[in-house]
Amino acid sequence: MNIAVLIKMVPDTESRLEIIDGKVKEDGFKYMVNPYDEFAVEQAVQFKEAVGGKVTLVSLFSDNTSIDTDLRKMMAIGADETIVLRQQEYSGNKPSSNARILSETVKELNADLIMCGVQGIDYYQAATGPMIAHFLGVPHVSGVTNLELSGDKLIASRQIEGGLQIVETPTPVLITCQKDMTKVRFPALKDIMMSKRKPFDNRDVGSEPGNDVQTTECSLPPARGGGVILEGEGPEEKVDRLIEKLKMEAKVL
Amino acid sequence: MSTVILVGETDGNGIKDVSQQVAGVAAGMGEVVGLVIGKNVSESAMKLAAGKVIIADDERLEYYDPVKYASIVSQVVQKNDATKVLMGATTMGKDLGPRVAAELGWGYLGDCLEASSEGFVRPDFAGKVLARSKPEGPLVASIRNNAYPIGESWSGSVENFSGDIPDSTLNTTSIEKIGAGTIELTEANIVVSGGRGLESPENYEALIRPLAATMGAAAGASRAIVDAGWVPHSHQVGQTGKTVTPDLYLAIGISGAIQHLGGMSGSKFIAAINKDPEAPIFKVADYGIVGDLFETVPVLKTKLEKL
Amino acid sequence: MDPFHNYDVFGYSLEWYLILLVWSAIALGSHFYQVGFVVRLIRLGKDDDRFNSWKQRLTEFLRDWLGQRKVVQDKVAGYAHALIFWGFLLLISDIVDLGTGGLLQAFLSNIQLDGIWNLIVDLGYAMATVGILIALYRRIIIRPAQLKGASIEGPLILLAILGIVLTAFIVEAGNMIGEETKYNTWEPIGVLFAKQMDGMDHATIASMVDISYWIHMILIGGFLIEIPQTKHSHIIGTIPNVMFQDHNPMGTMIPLQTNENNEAVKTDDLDFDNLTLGVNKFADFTWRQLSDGWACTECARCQDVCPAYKSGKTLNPMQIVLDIKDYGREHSSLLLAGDEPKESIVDRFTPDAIWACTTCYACVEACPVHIEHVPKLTDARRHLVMEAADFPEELQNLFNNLERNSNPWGFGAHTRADWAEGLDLKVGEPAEYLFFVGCAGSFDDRNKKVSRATAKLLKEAGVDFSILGEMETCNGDPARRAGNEFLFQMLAETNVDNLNSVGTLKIITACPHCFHTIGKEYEKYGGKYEVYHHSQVLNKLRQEKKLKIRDFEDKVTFHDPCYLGRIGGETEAPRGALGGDLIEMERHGTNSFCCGAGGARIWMEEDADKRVNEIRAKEASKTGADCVAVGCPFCMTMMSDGLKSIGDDKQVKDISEIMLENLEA
Repeated sequence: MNIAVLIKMVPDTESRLEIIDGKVKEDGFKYMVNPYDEFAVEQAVQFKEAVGGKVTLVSLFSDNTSIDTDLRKMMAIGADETIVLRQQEYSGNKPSSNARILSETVKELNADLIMCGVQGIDYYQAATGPMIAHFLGVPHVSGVTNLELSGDKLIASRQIEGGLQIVETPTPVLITCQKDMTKVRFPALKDIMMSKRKPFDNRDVGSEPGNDVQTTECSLPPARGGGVILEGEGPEEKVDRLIEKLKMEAKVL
Repeated sequence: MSTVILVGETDGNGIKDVSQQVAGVAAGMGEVVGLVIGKNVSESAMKLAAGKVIIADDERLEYYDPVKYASIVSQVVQKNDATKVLMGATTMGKDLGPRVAAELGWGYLGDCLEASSEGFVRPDFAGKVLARSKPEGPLVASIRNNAYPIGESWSGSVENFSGDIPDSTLNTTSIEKIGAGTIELTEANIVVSGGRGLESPENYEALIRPLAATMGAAAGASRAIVDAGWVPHSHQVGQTGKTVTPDLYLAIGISGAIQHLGGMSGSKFIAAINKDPEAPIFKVADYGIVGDLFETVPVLKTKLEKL
Repeated sequence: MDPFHNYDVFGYSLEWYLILLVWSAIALGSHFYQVGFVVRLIRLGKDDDRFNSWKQRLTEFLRDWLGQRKVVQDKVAGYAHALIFWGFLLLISDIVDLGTGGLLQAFLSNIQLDGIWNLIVDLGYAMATVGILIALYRRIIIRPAQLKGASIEGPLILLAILGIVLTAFIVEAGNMIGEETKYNTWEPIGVLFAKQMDGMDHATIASMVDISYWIHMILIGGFLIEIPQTKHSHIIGTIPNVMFQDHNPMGTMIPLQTNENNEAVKTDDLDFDNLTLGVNKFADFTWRQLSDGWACTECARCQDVCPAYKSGKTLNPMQIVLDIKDYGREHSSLLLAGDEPKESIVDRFTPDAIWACTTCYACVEACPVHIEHVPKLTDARRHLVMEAADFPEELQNLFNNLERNSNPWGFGAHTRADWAEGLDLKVGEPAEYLFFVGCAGSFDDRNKKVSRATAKLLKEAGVDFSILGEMETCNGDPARRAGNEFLFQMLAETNVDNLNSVGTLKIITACPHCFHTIGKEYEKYGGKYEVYHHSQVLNKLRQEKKLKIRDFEDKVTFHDPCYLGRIGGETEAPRGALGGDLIEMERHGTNSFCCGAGGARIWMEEDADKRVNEIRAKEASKTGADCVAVGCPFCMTMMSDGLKSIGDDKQVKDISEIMLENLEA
C-alpha cells in the first residue's frame, strides 16, 4: 500500500500568544507536528507493517529548518521518506492555497491512501483535508476514529453526533484522523538517529493563488466574569445554596 | 440582493436547532435559499426557516456522503447564482463546507463563532485568539450551534432538487449509536463534566454518570481524563473535543484549563465544584463550591433526587 | 607412641596423609574451579576503570571490610557477623596447621611464637563461637521480620561452622591432655574443654579427637566447595566489591559516552552505530555491576528500606542483585560461549520492577558491601526507553513536555518566570548568586509560593542574585532517572550553555534534584558550579544574623529529601535554617524514607493501594507535629497528598516558608 501522510507543523499549544496591531506575533513560536497528524502517521505505518508498501510524509512549511528534527521523529515511527515543500511566505491560515500546492505533490506520489489529521491545532478549520481530496478527485472520510483494512477496502468509523458512521471505501481515498484512532508510538532514540539516513527531500515551491479569506483583525477573547463562591458550613449547606441558585436564578432545575 | 444557500440538517425531530440558527444569520446576509439533503426529509425540510427550500430527497442520499452532497450544493449554488453557502458547524457541516468551497473555488471559514453581514469571527489557537474577517468574495462558512436565536420556522416555496446525484464509492454500511440512552453532549440542556480531581476512572463512573442521570444531563469530561484513557474522546469538552452550550454546565474536579474553557464558556450558567479555591474554573463559574467533591457530589445527588 | 600426638607431622601415618591430600585436592580444586568460573562470568562485563586511588581504596577496604563499618550498623546481626568474621581471620591459620598435621605449629615453636599464635587462634575460635551463637539465637529464637521465609540454608551453615569451631576445641583439648605440661595456658578455651574431657579414658579421648579432626576437615572442605555456590560467595565477593567501591558522589550516573578526559561526548557527536543504550544483556553491565551478585549476603537490609518494596510493588532491590547472579549461573554456558540467552536481563528483572524504583538510594546506603542496586535499574530503563521504546505511557507526556517546553508538565516555557511577578528580580544578569528556580518552583502553584518565599528571604538578607527566567530549562533529572539519557543530555547542554553565558558560578536552588544534578553531574557536560540548596544559604544567613528569624513555635517535623540528605549529604543545614526543636521522625537524616516522587515516579501512575507517600505520611503523622517541613518541591506534593489521603490535615511547608513566617520585622 502506497500511503501519503500530510503533516502540518503548528505552533506549540503552549506558545506565547501576543497580539500586536491586531496580528498574532508569530516570531516566538516553537513548532511541533500537529498531533492529529501523528495519528495519521502511526496508522499509516501500521498498515505498512501489515501489508507492506511505503509511507511518504509530505509537509508544507517555511524555510525554517527547526522543524526537521520533529519530522525525522515522525519518520522514526516507520515512514520511509519525507518531502518538505518550502514556501517563503507560508501561512497555516490558507487552507485553499495550501491544499492546491499539497495536492500537486501528492498527485505525483500516486498514493492509494492519503491521510492527515482532522484539523490543525492552529486554525482549527478542518478544511485542508477535504479540499485536497477534491483537488485529487478522490472521496474523503473525515474525523475517523477507527480505520481498518478489509481486503482491498477500508472501513472507516467516522465520529458524528451521537455515534459513528461506518463507511466502506475502496482506494484511493483521503482519510482525516480523529483523536481516538490509534495510539502513537514513541520512537526509540536508536530509530530517531537512524531516521537521519532516510530520504529527506526539501523542495522550494512558489505561492499559489487560493480563495482564502484574509483575517483582518485578531483579538483576545473577553474574560468571563467569575461569579460567587457559595459559602456554608460543610457540604450540606453549600449544596443547598447551589440548588437554590440553580432553581431561582438559573431556572434549570 | 445576493442569494445565500443555507444547508439545513434534519434529525429525528425535524430541522436541527443549529440549522434554524444559521437560517437567522443567513437572513441578515441576503435572500435565503434553504437546501436539505437526505432520505425521507421532505416533511422536516419544510420547517426550515427560509424563503425557499430546495429538497434533495432520495434513496441514495440516506447517509451523508461528501462527494454526493458537495456536488448537490454546488449545483444548487450555480442554479441560484448564490454567493454564499452557510451551514451549521456540525460534523457534516465541517466536512462538507471545505469540500464545497474547493469545488466552487470559494473562500471558506470553518467553525465560526459569529457571523453577520458585518463580518465573521472564528476561534484560532484553541480559542485563545479571536480572528475577525470581512470576506469580499464568495464564501462558504460553517457556524457553531447555539450562538444565535433560532430562526422563524416558516417556509415559503418548496422545490425538489432536479440536478444530478453523482456516484460515489463511499458506502455507509451502518450508523452506530454510542451510549444509547445517554444524552448527546452537544444537544444537552445540562452537562455534568468530571476532571482529574476525580482521581480514578472508577470515580467517574461512580459519581459523574449517576449525577448526570439524576439531572437528565449529558456526561462530559476534561481533556486530562480523556488523555488518561478514563473515558472515550466522545466525552471530551473543550477546544479539541466538543463545544457545548447548555443552560447549565457543572464542572466537577475540573481546574479549568483554557482549552477546556474554550469548549464550555458559551454555557448559559456554569457551576463548579473544586477543592482548590485558586482553580481557574472559578473565574468563569457563576456558582462555585470550594470543597471536596467526594463529599459534595453525593450530597448534591441525594438532594436533587428529593426535589 | 603417644596416642595424643597423632596430629603432629611426625606421628602421621601415610594413609592419613593420603586421605587428607585427596580431600584437600577435591575441596580446593572444586573451590578454585568454581571461583574461576565466576570470575570468567564477571569478566564478560564491560570495563569500568576503578583501578586508581589505591591509597584511598586501601583505607576504605580496611575500614569497611576489615573494620565491618556498615555491617555493625545493624547491632545484633552486625556484631554477630563481625565476631564470626574477625574470629575466622584470627583462626584461619589453624586450618593450615591442622590440614598439614601441625607443620605450622612446629615451625612457630622453633621460633618461639607458638604460644602467642595459639592464643590468637584460640581467641579467634572463641569470638566465632560467640558470634555463631548470637546469630543462631537471632535466626531461630528472635526471627526478625526480614528473616521470615528465609531458607534453612542460613541456620544449617551456622551449625556447620559451629561444628568447625567445636571440633577444633576438642582436638585442641585432646592434644592438651596428652601434653606433659597438661594445660596449655596459651589456649584458655581449649583448657576449658580439656578440663571437661580430662578423666575420660584415653581410648575415648583418642577417638573423640580423631572423629572431631575428621569432622573438622570435612566441614572445612565442604565449606570451600559450598562457598562459590551460595550467598557465602560473599566471603570472596565482598573483597573486590568493597575495594572497588564507587568513588563518584552518590547518585551520579554515567554519561552515554565519554571521551578520554572522562567528559561526556556532546549529543551531536555521539557514535550511535557503536553505542549500546542501557542494559538488556548480561554483558551490557560493567564488571563491577556483575560482581555485586556474588558479594550479596542476602542480609535484606536493602529490601527493608526500599520504598517500592515496602509499598507492595514488585521491586525488591535484593532480588535485582540476585537476579543478575542467578541469570549468569543459569545461562553460563551460552554466555561464556558469547551467545545470547532467549531471556534478557530486562525480562528477568521484569519491567514492573524496573519502573517501580524511586532512585532514592536507600538500598545503596544500607548495603554493607557497597552493592550498587540503583544503576542496574536505571540502566535497564535506558534500554527500555532508548532502544526498545517500551515504557509507561505517562512518560511519553513527560518526555514530550520536556522536549517542547523544557518542563515536565508542558507549561509554556515563556511563563517560567511568572511566579516572580512583582518581586523585581534580576533576570539573566550576572550577580553573586544565581537562583535556579527549577520547574516545580516555576510552574506549580503550590511551589511557586516557595520560590517567592526564598526570593523574599534572599532579598531581605541583601543577597545579590538573579534568575535565568525563560532561559532556564529543566535540569534533566526526570528524563534521566526515567531512562531518557539523551533528553537529559540535551537539557543539560542547554542549561550549561545558558549558565555559562550568564557567568554566575554560585547557584542557589530550592530543588534537591537541581542541587544534585547541577552540582554533581554537570561538570561532565562542561559546567562547573558551586551549587547550594536554599537551606544551606538561608542557614548561613541566619547564623550570620543577616536574617533575623525567631525559632518556630509550632510542633514541626522535617522530612529529609533523599537528594538532599542521603544523596546530597546535607542534613544539618535544613535543621539549622529551621531553628527550634524539631520532632524527628524515626527515620530521618540519611536514613530518611522516600516520599515516592523520585526516579520520575511522580509522573507515573501509582496504584492507590501501593502509595509510597502514604507510608511516609503515616510516619510524619505519628510524630504528632502540626506541620511537616520539607525541602523539596516534589516532597511537598507527595507529602501533602499523602497526608490528605490518610486523613491528616497537617500542613506541609517548605523551610523557606517557615522561616519567612518567623522573620522578625
